[in-house]
Amino acid sequence: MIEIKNLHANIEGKEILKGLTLNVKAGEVHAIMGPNGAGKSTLASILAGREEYEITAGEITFDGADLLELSTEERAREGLFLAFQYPVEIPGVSNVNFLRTALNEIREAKGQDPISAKEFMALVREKSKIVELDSKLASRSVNEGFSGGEKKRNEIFQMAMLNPKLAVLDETDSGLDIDALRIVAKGVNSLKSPKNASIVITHYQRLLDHIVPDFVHVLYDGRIVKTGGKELALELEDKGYDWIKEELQVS
Amino acid sequence: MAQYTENELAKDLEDQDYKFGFVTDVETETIRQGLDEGIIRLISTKKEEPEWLLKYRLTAFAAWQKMTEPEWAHVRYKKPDFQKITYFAAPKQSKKYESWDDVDPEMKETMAKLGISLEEQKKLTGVAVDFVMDSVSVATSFKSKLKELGIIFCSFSEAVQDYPELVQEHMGTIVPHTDNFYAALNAAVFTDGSFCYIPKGVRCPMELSTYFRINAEGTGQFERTLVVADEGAYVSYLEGCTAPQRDENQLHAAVVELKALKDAEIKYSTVQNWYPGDKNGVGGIFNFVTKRGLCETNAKISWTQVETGSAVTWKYPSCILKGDHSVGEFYSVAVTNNYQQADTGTKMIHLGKNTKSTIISKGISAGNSQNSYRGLVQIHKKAHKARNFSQCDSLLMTDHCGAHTFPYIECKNPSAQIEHEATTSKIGEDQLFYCKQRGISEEKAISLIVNGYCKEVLNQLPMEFAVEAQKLLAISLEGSVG
Amino acid sequence: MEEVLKQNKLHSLSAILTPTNLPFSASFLEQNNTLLEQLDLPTRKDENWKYTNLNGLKKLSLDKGASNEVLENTSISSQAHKIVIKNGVVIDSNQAIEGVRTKWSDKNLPEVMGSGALDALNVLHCSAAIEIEFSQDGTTKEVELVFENTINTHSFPRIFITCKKGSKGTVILNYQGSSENASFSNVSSFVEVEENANLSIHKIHKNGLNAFDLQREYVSQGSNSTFTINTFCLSGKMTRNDLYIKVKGNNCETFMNGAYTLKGKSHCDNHTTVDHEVAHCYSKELYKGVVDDFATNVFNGKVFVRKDAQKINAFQSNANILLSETGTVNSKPELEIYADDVKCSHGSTTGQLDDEAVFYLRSRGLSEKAAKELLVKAFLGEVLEEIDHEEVRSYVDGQIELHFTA
Ligand SMILES: Nc1ncnc2c1ncn2[C@@H]1O[C@H](COP(=O)(O)OP(=O)(O)OP(=O)(O)O)[C@@H](O)[C@H]1O
Ligand SMILES: [Mg+2]
Repeated sequence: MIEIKNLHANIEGKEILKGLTLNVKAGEVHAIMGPNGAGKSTLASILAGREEYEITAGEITFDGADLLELSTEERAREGLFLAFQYPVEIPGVSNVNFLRTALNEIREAKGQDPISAKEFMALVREKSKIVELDSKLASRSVNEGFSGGEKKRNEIFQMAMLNPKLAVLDETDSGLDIDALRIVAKGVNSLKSPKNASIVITHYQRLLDHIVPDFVHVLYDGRIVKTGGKELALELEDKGYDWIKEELQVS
Repeated sequence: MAQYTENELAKDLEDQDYKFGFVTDVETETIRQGLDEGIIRLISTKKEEPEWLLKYRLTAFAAWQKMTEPEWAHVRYKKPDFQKITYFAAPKQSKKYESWDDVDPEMKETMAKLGISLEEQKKLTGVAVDFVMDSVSVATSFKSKLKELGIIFCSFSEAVQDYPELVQEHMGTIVPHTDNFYAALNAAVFTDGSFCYIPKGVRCPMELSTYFRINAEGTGQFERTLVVADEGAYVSYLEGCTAPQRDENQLHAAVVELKALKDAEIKYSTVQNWYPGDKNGVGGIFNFVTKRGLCETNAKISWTQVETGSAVTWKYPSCILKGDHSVGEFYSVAVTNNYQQADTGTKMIHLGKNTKSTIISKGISAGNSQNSYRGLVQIHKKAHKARNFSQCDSLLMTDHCGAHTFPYIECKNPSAQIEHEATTSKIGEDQLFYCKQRGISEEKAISLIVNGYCKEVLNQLPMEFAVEAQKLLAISLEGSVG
Repeated sequence: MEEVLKQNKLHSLSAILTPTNLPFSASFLEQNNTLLEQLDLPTRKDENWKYTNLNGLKKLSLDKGASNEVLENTSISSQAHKIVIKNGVVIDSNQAIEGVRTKWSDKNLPEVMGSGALDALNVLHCSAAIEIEFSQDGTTKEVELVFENTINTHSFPRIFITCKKGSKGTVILNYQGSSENASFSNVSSFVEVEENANLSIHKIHKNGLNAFDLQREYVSQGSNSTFTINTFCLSGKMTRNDLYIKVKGNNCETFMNGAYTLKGKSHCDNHTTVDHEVAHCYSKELYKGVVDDFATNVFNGKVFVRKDAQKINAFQSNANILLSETGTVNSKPELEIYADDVKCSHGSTTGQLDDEAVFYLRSRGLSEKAAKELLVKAFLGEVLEEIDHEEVRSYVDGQIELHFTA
């Protein structure tokens, strides 16, 4: 589904990604872990097409197409979804209006008719149930005044509404209480299908109890330095990152 | 507003140009260009006015001749040549219309193009509309229904003929003919406008609405609006404006006077969409308007305006809070694009005790435009416990435009509380990125964010107007990102 | 008719002012003469003088009547080099301070044109010129100018301050007048903060109750520089400050703080302009004060952001407490922005002390007066916290205390 090869990227002249390679196939769940500042959010931002980053080398193909050639909204319309680490507030724009606009833009790009108000509302009802999002939140302004946990849940709600091919979740679990964590995981799992894939960026193994990853990667200093199965997450939780750093120094 | 989505908006966006820029081919009767006593007498005669009104005009004209055009506003333009303007242009027609059916078909078509087909409006919204084209009022619907309640809603000329005492009693009491250069000019040469009177204790059951349109070439539009809400009355009044696309600058110098007597409430909403000139700043309306309201005890006046048109706007809808416990409100969205210039804001004059005012102003500048908020909050000595809250935000879309804030705060009472806040910033990059990540195009994302940013003001408008205003915002900002 | 008035206003003023005896060139004097004739003194018709009326100057009588009062302990800083300017004239203590000049030959007196009529008036009747220069390896780090007015005279100094590349300097401008003093101060200052320099100015207006004090500072900032100016208007009949800061280099920081405590019939007017000509700068302004009796305060803060001056963060705030039925507060914060990638904001509040808070303190046993005093001090405290000069802060603090007891 997505193939990242030897990706190098700078911001303000500073190299953040230093040859990152990652391959995600349909139906898979990949977890990316790594210390603060390793470049996890940078990777997510580049996938979504944030323009501040300069790609100095490497390539990314998404469903066979050159992802880097596409604009942010084109990537979204192709089915790439980013759940933001820090979702932004948009005052005065209701969640519902926002999502309807997004959904219709995506449909239009695919040559489909706009969704009818009735269908749309039905969809909102169905999806907000999955993430147990209070219907009041759906009619409030996008993320405005939402608590940290509500923002994260709203990201998953939007993901459910837009039904992407590839979802990138950037620390969607941080700031969530136990229940919210379960709900978010439920949302992600309910979208899981042989046609979809997700990349889950997290610091905590506890999320991976709920969303079981096929692969766990360690992103350190701009590179994937270790890849393993679910057990790697447990090991990291237990031992921290120092042993990996040491391993790297040895080799 | 919820049922209106961005998709409908897209259709409107297809045609980027000024969509009201057509000329209606109705025969107009005009008088010679220029301004002198003779012209004023001629206008007065043509309108079969009483002697006192002619006198009023002539006094105003004399005062005007001694005045100089104000220059303090943050706008630059070539001053109009007052001798090159035609001060009277009326669609030639037999007489006043008795019913909608009598209206000239061309005229009806104009109205339809403006999106204000009266028939439709009658059915759908129950809005009573007065249509002023080139200074003369051509149709007022719903008159009889209003009459039953004792509400007078008619053209200014009709009011002069039919209710001279009412007009004479109130006209010029809030905006005296000596008020300013353009108010004086208006008092001398005004040709028509709207008049509205709501009797004691009556709640006007429908929105009253006037549409102004400048059609004929080389004319100025000088209309007067006078709204009087008697004790305990309520009225919501809407005003919309358009003009055809022309290379010349046409002058619009209107005067609006509102009087809210004890316990009365007037809500006055404007969607101003005069022709703004083309991309290079050629043509467009000079919109120099004096709007002011007076509140007696416990009365309330609320101004809401969405300003997207005109080449130059100079406009400060104000409230004189004379009565104790009276309330003034000003909600404004002003959008400027290309070479438009707007200097707009309000004055809240607190005279009475416990008076309260709220100012919410949202400025959006794009292209090479200049957009200024200018406001005065004045608390007089006796205005005990007066309160004011002002919030003035400016949004910048390009690096060629300007956004300016000039608030004047004057306080002479120690129990008053005044709070003013202003911010100026660029449209949020993070917000744009967020929208785009969800698949929304940049253009649409901007319209979404800007509409959200103006929500507080748009919410003040009646539903149909709000939808119209949203569309206008999007159209005005087309291709504005720098 | 108007012509005649104009003549009168200027001439009556000039008549009571002694012409300058500093060695200005004839052409410079002529230039200023012409400027003055052209501009005349500002009137309330000028937007910048809308709230401040200079008519009182007409009634000024500089009779030089000596006051019996001896000013004591006027100096504030113990670590600063001191220069005393008594009744407008530099008192020569024969001390040589590195980087400071107070004596002039016709060759070295700087001739900088100001922009207004008051600047021209300042030149024509200039009573002292002082130059201060801080340099990276100089030993002078702090200078205090103490202006003492004990007789009713005119004091028209010109001050030139330069903070050279990479240097750091502090200047205290300390204006003191005996309580009944009726002097006329008219000060033009020219300040240059070069690249990577850091200059702080502390200005104290502690004038006599009938004194006029009109001042202008023209500041320009080079890249990576920091400039701070703290202004305290404590007493005087009329105090007017015009502060023009041109930020000409990138990455500058500009801080303006002000506090005013007005009572009696005093009139205080602070006009500030920060002109961001270039990108990536930060400015912050905070002016707060209390107005009692028949006093009037005027605040006018302007922030300009020129075209292409992107990434400017500018904040401006003015807060007033009006304590009397007869006082007046006029506040006009302005933003003029011509670049888009900016974050600018301003706020202005005018109100009274929080009744709830007064009540709370009284319920804890404080008298009403004490409670109000405490709250006013807390209100002004926000500005005092910004002062990084210990002695200046404690001086101002003490003056605020006095304001309530005197
Ligand atoms: N706009 C920027 N300018 C300069 N440096 C940046 C910028 N954005 C990110 N960085 C730097 O890039 C590095 C990687 O940041 P990134 O946000 O990708 O880390 P992360 O792995 O997501 O960390 P965390 O676990 O804390 O979320 C950090 O050192 C960060 O400071
Ligand atoms: Mg991160």
